[in-house]
Amino acid sequence: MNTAHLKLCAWTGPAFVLLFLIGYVLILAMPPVSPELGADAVAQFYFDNRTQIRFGVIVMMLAAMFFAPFMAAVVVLMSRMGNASPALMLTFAIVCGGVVMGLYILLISLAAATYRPLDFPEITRAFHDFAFMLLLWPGSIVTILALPVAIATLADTRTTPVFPRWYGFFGYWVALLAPAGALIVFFKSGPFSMTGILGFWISLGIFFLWLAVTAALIPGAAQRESRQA
Amino acid sequence: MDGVSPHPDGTRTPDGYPAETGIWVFVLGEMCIFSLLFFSFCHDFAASREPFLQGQGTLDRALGVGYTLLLLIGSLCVVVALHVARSGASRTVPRLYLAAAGTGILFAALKLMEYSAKVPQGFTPVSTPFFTYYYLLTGLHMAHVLVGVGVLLYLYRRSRRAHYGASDIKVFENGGVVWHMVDSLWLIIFPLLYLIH
Repeated sequence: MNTAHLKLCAWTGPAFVLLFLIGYVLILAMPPVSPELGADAVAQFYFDNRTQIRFGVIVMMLAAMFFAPFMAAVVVLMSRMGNASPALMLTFAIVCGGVVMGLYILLISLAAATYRPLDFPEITRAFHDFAFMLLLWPGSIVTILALPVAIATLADTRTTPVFPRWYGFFGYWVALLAPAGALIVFFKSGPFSMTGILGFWISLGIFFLWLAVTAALIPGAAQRESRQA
Repeated sequence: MDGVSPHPDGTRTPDGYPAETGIWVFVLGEMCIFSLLFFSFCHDFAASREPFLQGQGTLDRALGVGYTLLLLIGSLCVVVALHVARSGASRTVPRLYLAAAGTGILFAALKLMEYSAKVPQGFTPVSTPFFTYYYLLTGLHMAHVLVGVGVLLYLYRRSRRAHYGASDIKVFENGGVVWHMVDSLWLIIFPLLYLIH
């Protein structure tokens, strides 16, 4: 088995997380522009910051190419676990494909919002809403992303498992709380809106934390696997 | 490997705490997120006291006490079950886990009745900020209760074995930790929503 490529894929994890974070900081969406504002204010925000946001979106778009190999490394590591489960691996892989698509659609939507923001402010705001709904609302996909890996991790009962057992419990926690962003469709302001503590910070924070912790674990896990191979 | 091999007497791990190290990561994570929500609630409560107190006035405190007692009884069952299980397999253990799961199901049923009484009165998740918090905190907690009931039913099945090994005790401890966490979260949600001034 070619473990050199596994190690390469494993390092795309940290690369994805780091680059994506840099891009995200550049688009000035921590938290995003309030949905309470009128279409003109949102359009004006995209117009005033268009250059920076465009650069940010490009950085995130480049980061996105690392997502598939990052997740592929997780799948391969799942196949090396004790009690390895093809059903869980396949579930995880299918969901990853969906996340890749969602990620690109989100980025295209943001790019579109910066393209001619002042021509039709309502359309600019619709692209803005759509992009952040895509990012924050469909939390169940994060649940079904974290859950197969968590279950597989806890089923790996060997003395030296691929991932430490705490990562399995961590995955359960992520899976349970990830759909917290579901409520953003009800609110334009407050803690449950897409700018609030639950709608934004917790729901995106949990997803990002899962990505960051996973990215931090896989290079080491891949290293151990290559020594055993 | 973190303390998975239990102590010879089957009560504690060599490092001196019950359950698996990993499960505490889960509990800590939950506590962090709920604390954020509690802070957010208190912050908004302090900023607009009158409407929040008004919302609080429509809640039935007796029902709140009832929920609390129900969960405490459930937790007691879990504690006793583990205590009995440590001295060997017994038919009492699955019965206690089933009883604990029963308190959880009853809790959820009562909660749904409370919701269905509130909604026709016009108290919905979007009616006032207080009720947004009310539905969010209790709803999120109820999701945890349902997961906890699932865990307890698993413990019920597993405790029907003729003999408990060290790994069974470890699973009972882990499941117990999850249920106690669900219980303790309610012990904060109850005073926050029903009582504070």
